[in-house]
Order: sequence, then C-alpha cells, then structure tokens
Amino acid sequence: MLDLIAQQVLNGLSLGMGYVLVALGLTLVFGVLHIVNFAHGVFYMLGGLITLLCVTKLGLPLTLALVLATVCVGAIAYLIDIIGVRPVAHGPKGHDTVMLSTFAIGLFIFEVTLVSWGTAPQRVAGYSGLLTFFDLTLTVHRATVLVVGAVLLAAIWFTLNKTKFGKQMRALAENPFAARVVGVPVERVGSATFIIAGALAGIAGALLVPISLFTPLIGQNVILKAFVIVVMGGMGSVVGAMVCGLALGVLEAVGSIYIPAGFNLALIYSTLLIVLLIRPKGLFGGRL
Amino acid sequence: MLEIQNLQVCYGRVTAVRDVSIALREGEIVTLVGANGAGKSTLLKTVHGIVPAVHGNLIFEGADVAKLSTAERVQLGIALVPEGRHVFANLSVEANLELGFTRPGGSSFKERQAEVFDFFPRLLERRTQKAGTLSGGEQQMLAIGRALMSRPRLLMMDEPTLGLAPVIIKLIKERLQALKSKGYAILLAEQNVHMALSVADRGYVISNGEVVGSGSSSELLQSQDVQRAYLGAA
Amino acid sequence: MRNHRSSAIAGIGALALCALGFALSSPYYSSIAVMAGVFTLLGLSVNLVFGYLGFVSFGHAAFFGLGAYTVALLTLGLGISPWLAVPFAIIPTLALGALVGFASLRVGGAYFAIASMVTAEILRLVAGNWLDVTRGHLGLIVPSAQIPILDSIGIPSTAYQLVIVVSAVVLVYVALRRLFASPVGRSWIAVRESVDLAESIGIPTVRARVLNLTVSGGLAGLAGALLVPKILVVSPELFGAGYSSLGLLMVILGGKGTLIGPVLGGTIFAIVPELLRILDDYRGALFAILILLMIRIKPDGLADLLPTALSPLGGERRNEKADQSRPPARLLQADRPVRPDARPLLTVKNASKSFAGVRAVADLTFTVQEGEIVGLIGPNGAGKTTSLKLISGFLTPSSGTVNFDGHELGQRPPHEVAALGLVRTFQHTELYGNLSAVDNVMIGTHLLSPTTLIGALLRTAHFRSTEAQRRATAHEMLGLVGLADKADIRASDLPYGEQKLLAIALALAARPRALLLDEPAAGLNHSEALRLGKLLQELKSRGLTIVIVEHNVPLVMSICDRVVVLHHGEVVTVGTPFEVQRNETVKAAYLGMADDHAEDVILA
Repeated sequence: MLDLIAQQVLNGLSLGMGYVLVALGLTLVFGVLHIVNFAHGVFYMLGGLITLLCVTKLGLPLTLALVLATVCVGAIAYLIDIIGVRPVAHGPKGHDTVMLSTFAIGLFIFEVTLVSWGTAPQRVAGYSGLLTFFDLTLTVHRATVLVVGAVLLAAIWFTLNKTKFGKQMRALAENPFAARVVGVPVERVGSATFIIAGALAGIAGALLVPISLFTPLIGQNVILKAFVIVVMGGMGSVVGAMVCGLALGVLEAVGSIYIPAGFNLALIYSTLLIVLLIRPKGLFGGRL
Repeated sequence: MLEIQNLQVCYGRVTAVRDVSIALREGEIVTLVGANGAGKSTLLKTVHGIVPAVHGNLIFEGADVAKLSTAERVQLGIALVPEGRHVFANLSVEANLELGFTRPGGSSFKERQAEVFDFFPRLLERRTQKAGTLSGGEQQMLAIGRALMSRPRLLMMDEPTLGLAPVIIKLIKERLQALKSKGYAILLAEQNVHMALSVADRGYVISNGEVVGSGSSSELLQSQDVQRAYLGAA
Repeated sequence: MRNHRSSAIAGIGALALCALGFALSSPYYSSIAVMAGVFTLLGLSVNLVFGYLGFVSFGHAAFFGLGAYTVALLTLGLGISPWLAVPFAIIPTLALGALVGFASLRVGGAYFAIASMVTAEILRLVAGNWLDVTRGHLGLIVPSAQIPILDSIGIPSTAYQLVIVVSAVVLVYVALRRLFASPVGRSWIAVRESVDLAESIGIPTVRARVLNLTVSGGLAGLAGALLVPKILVVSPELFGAGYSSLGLLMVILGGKGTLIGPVLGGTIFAIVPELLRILDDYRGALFAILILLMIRIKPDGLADLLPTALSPLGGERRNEKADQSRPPARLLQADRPVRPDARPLLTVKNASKSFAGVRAVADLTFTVQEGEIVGLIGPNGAGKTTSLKLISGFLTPSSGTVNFDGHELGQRPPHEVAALGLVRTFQHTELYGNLSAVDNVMIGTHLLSPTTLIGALLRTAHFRSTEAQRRATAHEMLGLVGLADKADIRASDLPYGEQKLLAIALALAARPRALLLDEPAAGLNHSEALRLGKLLQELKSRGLTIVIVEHNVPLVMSICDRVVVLHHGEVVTVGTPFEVQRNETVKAAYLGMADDHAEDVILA
C-alpha cells in the first residue's frame, strides 16, 4: 500500500508541475495587472490541442510540436489581450468588465472547439521510456514534465529577481502609480506578462496532453484547479502557486486511490471555499 | 526650460488647476507654495503626464510634451519624486534605484548608483535592505535618489518634507542646496513655506488652483499673500 | 401614488393575459412561454446580485440546479406531486444563498466570481457521482406533473403549467418592484456603489448583502423548481456553466439594474433558440459572442432603449411632494430629548491610532458641546482624516476612547455609530451618481422609522406611511441645502458645488444629532464656499452639532465656535478662531520652522 501511495505521489508531482505552470500564469497576471483572466483555461486547452494536431495530423516530432504549441498560444494570448482586456480594463468597473469579457472569450473558444472537435477523447504518445529507482517507476515523459517545469520555474524566478524586466513587473504589481512615475512602460510590461502567462499555460497543456488525454473540457477543468491553487497560495504569490500546485497534484493522485474521481475533485474544490472563508489572503499572502 | 501656459486640469467636474502659467529656467529652483488641495500636486502630476490637461500648453526644452506618455517624458529628462515617497517597499534599495535608471546616456548602472550613494551615504549602508524597512527620512532619500538615477534635466518634488522630523527636514534642505549648486533645475511643491523659500530662487503662491502671487523668495517672505493664503485674514 | 402602481400592475397583468391567451391555444407556444418564464426568474435572480449588489456571479446554476433536484428528490421520495414540492424546494436554496452571502463578506469581486463558479461545479460533480441518490448522469425522472382536479375538468397540463409559471413571474416581479421602492432595495443599491457611504448613514451592509444573496438564491431555486414539471428529467447539467452563463447573459442583454431587463432577456432566450434550431450546437458560442458584444457596445443592455418610467427605484417618486405647509422640523430625532445637562456630546480622550508601528494620531483629546461648530485643522499629514475616521467608527482606536452621547464608540461598526446619531461625509464626495438627487437623499433616510421586509412586500399601511415620512424628509433636506428644484436631476449631472451640498443633504436625511464633515469645501470656489458656510450656520441654528475637518482655514475661522489644531498627529491647541490665529505654535506648524529673522517678518 505504501508503495502505491509513493508511486502516486511521484505521478502526482508531474501532474502538479503542470498545474503549477498554469497557476503561475494566472497569479502573475493577477499580481502585475490586477485582473483575473477567466479565459486562462483555453490557453491550456489550446496548448494540448495544437500539440495533438501537430503530432497526429502533421506528423511532427513531439518536441517541435511542443515548441510550436507554445508559440501559437503566446500569440493567441496577445490577441486576447488586445481584444478582450486592454479595451475594457481601464473603464469604470474595469475589473468586473475584464472578468466578464475574458469569461466570454474563453467560453467562445471552448464552444467552437467543442463543436469542431466533439467530445471524443484522443491520446497522443509522449516521450517513451521508463525510469526506475527503488521500487518506483517514472515514465520518461513524466520526468520530462518535471524537468521542464523546474527549468521554467527557475527561469521565472530569475526573471523576477535578477532582470530589469522582472523588477518592472514587481514594481507594477506593488505600486502601479509609482511604477508609472519612474517611467516603467506600463502597457508594454502588462502585455508581456499576459503573453508569458498564456505561454506558460500553453506549455503545461502541451506537456500534459500525453499523460491525461485531450478533450476540449480539459481547459475548463484546469482553470478551476488553477483557481484553487491561486486562492490557496495567495493571489500574486509565486511561491504559493508552486507549493499549492504540487500539493494539489499529489492530493489528486493519492486521493484517486481511495475516492472516485468526481468526489475527489469535489473535495479539492471545497478546500477553496474553506480557505476563502478562513483565510482569504491565502497561505502565503499576496506578494510576487 | 519649462513653460506652463494657461494650464487647466480637471478631475471629473472639479477644476483643480485653473489658467496657471509658470516658467522655469535652467539651474533655477522654483517653488510652489500653498495650502493642501490648492493644486500644487496636480500641477506636478500634469507636467509628468500622470494626469491629462484639459487646456493649455506644456513646453519642455522647446518641445510640446502634452501628448507624450509618462515613460516618454522620463526619457526626455523629466523626473518626479511623488508626494508620499512611494518607494517599492518589497524591493531592495538597489532594485529601487535600478528602476530609476532609465536614461543611461553613457554611464553604467553601477557608476550612476555610486553617485547616488555618494550623495546619500545612508542609502549605501542600507543597499540590500527592503525599502519598506527604511525610516521615513531614508525612504525620502531613496525616492530622491531614484529620481536622480535618471540624471534628469528637470527634477520635480512633491512635498519632500511631509511627515518628517525637523532634523531630517534640515538634511533634505541641505541636500537640495547641494543639488542647486550642481546645476539641477528643480520644481518644488511644498507646504513648509520657510524651508521652500530658503532654498528656492523664486516662488509661486497657489490657492484654489490659481496663481495668486509670485516673485523672488525674498519678496514672498516679506509679503502678506502667503500668510493670507494659509491662515486667512488675521 | 396609487395610480402609478396599479397601472404598472395592470400593464403587466394585461400583457401576461394576452400572452396566456395566445399560448394556451397551442402546447408548443405555451411550452416556449414556460421556458421564458423560468428563464426570466433565473435572470431576475442573477440581476439581484449582479445588477443591484454589483457582484459578478458565474455560478447561479448552483441554486438553479439545487431547486430542481430538491423537487425531484421530494417528488420521488415522498410520492407527492412536483407542484407541491416546489415551495419546499426553495428552502435549501435560501439556505445556500445565506451561506454564500456570509462568505461574500470576506471576499468580493473576483474571489466571489471564482467561488460562485466553484460552488456550482462542486454541486455538479456531486450530482453526477452520488449514484445512490441522484443516479448520476442518468438523472432523476419525475413522473408527469398532473393536477388531477384540473385534469378532470378538461384543462390541459400545458395550460395550467403556463398559468402557474406566469403567475409566479408576475408575483416575483411585483414583489421585487416593491422591494426596490423600499429601504431594503435602496440599501442594496447603496452597498453596490459605495459600502462606506452606505455604512455612514446607518445601513448594516453585512445584513444587506446576506439578505440580497438569500433572496437571489431562493429565486434561482424557484426557477429551477418550476422547470421540473416541464422537462421531467433532472440531470447534473442543470448545475452546469450553460445555465450560469445563460442567467448572466440575460441580465447583460436585457439590462442589469432594471427589472424589465431580465424579462426581455428571458423572452428573447426562450424564443430565439426555437427560431434558430439549426444553430443548436453553436448556442454556447453564440451566447459568448453576445456577452462580448453587449459589454462593448451596449453595457446597459436593451432596457436602456425603453422609456425611463421604469426606473430602478420604482415609479413612485413623481407623485409625492413634500408637505410644504408644515413648519421646518427640528433636525434632532423627535424621540430623543435634548440633553438638559452641559456635558459634551462628543468626548475624545487620548485617542491614538497606529498603522504598522507608525503613529498617525497620538493622544487626541477634545470635546464638542451640543450645538457647537468645531473645526479640525492642520497641515497636510497632520492626522485630520484619521481622527475623523476614529470618531465615526471607520477606524478603531489603538488606545484611548471616543464617547458620543454617553456611548463608547470603540469597536462599533460605522452603521451603529450612525444609528446613535453621528453621521460623517466623505472628502471625495461619495454620491450615487446615476440616481436622481432625491433618490440619493432617500437612501440617506434608511434609519428613519424602520420597517420590515414583510411590510415592504405587502405594502401595509404602516409601510406606506413610513415611506411617505421618508420621502417628506428627503424633500425637506433637499430644500434645506437649496436643491429643492433639482430633485429629479441626476446627481452626476449637478455642478460640483451642488454635489457637495447633495452629499450633506444625504447625511442630514439620517436625522443625525452630529454631523462630521470631511473637507466639505474642497474644490469649491469662493461663492460656493460662502454658500456652504451659510448652510452650516443655518444647520447650527436648528440644533445640529457639527465637526468640520477642513483645509480652507478662512472658512473655518469664520463659522466655527472653536478650532482644534493638529500637527504631526497631535493636538497643538484648542481655542476660538481668534485665539488660534494668533497662536505662535500654530503659525509655526503651518508655515514651517523659521530660521533667522524670516519669522519676525511673517509675524509682523
């Protein structure tokens, strides 16, 4: 039994790493732009979809497909920024309007994908191979997810702490007025953040689709999990997103041993409500 | 160097600045005095591009800057030390200064930073500390230093002595005089009339969004306009 | 007054009957009409929260589905007719609404939207997986919802289904209309636009939000419940994003913050899909595009195109004028006797407030006698606004006490302080910009002659008389500040100086004993400031106690009996204007530390 749990923990970590990337995007956008992007889930879905299409329809190697997917999703994020966020973010009740606007865009993209693709799940093969240590196994693909995720996390950490752009992001997150005063190009930094966030979710979708099947619904599912992570970890907290994201993946994987999938998710979502009631600021406060 | 002509600024239905004309030459320190709410802050923010002007001209070094964004004006050499300091509390002193380093003009970040540390030794001591842990006076120094990092042509300061202890005010005043001797052009908005007029060459008295008096510092120190603007007819 | 209201009801009733007549002739049309009715109820419920409270809810399907499932479970479990189960099905949704209401206090805006989405999803997952109870995705099948008595006299089930649903819609519409023409509905609008302003005139914002969400939940639950006899199969998709977005879209399309909006939306959404059968698959995508377009092009919805007679606060206003013949009342609450002794009305003793180790205000001590005008002045950063917030309950003192009329203010929330008779205004003139001047002041009357929810719904005689009193007070206060002829003008259309006067009228409508004014003269020109000064003196002559925080020192000096000067968070001196103007420390505080002889020059 212990072995099973340990194995699930390992599997859960790779799943969780994907969630971390998605949640990171969400929390970066919230921290820097102070808005919640309800279309964030479609970045994940499209990342998976494009990867799927590249491999199955275009016959491209997986790695190339991953890169292409990321780039495309980044571009789509830029479009959404221009169409759905920038025009409405600064008006009266801007925050509410952005929520509605991104919700609508996300819904539209989801529905169109649903109609064109249908609901039949499709699988694509990941990196093949198996690693074993002690009594545990880890597929090469899952290991890749962990490695790529860790590299990206390190890159984000580096950007935020060691580059000027990262400091501009943090400045904007902390004090938009002062950031403007010192001459930070507010619009440019905001858009760049939005694109990065989208790309992160896109990579996550691309990486995870060989593990968990593709259906258009994966975007809707992941965004709810991302919300749970971000609320638990604290809106705007990178560390929070990391810790809670991995924890969620592990909980989901271990939980699935004992509880049927639907209830498993319901329980996890319930924790969000509990956290909101007890500690709305999240476990790690709200600092980038 | 800076010419404000017939400026009018409104917040919604309130006219905060009404037909104000001000001029500032290179190497001058000009101060704006007046009670809180008189419009001094709004004026500075409008010059910096944070608040749009409804009417009037803003000419900086011969160019009309009214349509430029704040980031663009910063590139031209305008810097603002905002009221309330607004340092980035969670970033280190160095990071704060780095954010101000917007116009390299040949120098490296390290060089420019060294100049600022020279000017404010206290900041050197605290270089890696988070800005939020600094005292009020030190934060003010950081805010000024951050603005100096861009080696501005025009330095604007909004109430730099607000909420500071007298001994720190003295230090700020002395540093302002040092900036003056370095040839900086400074537009200073201050409620503390004495400090302002002892440092500035000229001043404008602002009341209710309008210029109600102007002159050299010594003239203003003598006049009743200032006292009236603050305390009403005695 | 009577005319307008009954004509509204007659209008709705007539329309409904016409529709009924047409619909009853065909099961197909009556089916569409039933859907329209159900959607309208859903839209009205989302509207309550989104339009009137200002919270975006992405999860109203939680209530909708809960109502439907409760009906199904009761019907199957107890063997009763679904129609009988409908009223009971509202109970769990009311409870969920109340729960959500309490939760919403901790979080607002985005968190609320997220939480609503998550709640609906949790219920959907439970419904889809709790196979023993809900049969999962197979759903629960309800036996046909016949009413034997009506069947036996030959009325088709589609007909009485329609009548029941339409009756429910009409009842709800009228009830909501009455609610909005009462302090309850006004309190929601007040909370939506400015929680601080609402608190300052005595609206318990917590209670208001909980009530709103409870009613909204119950309404959505009713909609779901009424759907069951029509569709007969209850499945987890009732909790799905489809119905949540539908509810939202109806409100956005029809117009939020109005009652007719969701009615329009509901009708459109029942009819249009039928017309566009071929686009069935694309329905979701179409909804999404519509939401987007409406947000960008017509954020106020289609109801914006209708005449303004259907205003959000009910159509009663034009028919009630102030009773001009009555002599101006004393501003003090009639049931509170004037204090006979000379104890101060307001006592502040060593009040201090620190923020994260920084002392904003220290040892604040002064008193205010009843009927005085006391000014609070000081340079920028002196702590005036902090002091005002301490006195009005918007901040709790870190130490020291604030005592008003014998009551310790300490931990009390602002609305309780207001109920005690102390009302404040705001520096950045908080007003309800989209409402008329008189509607703004009506919101201020919240504390007067309290009535119950039932009273408002049933329009009891008691309710009507208290409403008339409130209206009279509102007009009286408008007259007092000189805005009587601007009663029906939108607040945001008034010139700035008059907006400040309106804000004071709003505060006065709560009939306070003491008024705390936060920079009322900010942004006023000379003549406007003079008008303000005159008003304050008039108010004083009627027995009102006033504390005024101001930068306009000449104004303060001209109208105040005494002046408190603050600097660096401490009281420098308290005295008459004459004394204060000659006080050395005051001059130093304002003009700065002098060096050398500059000081002598200034003081000459």
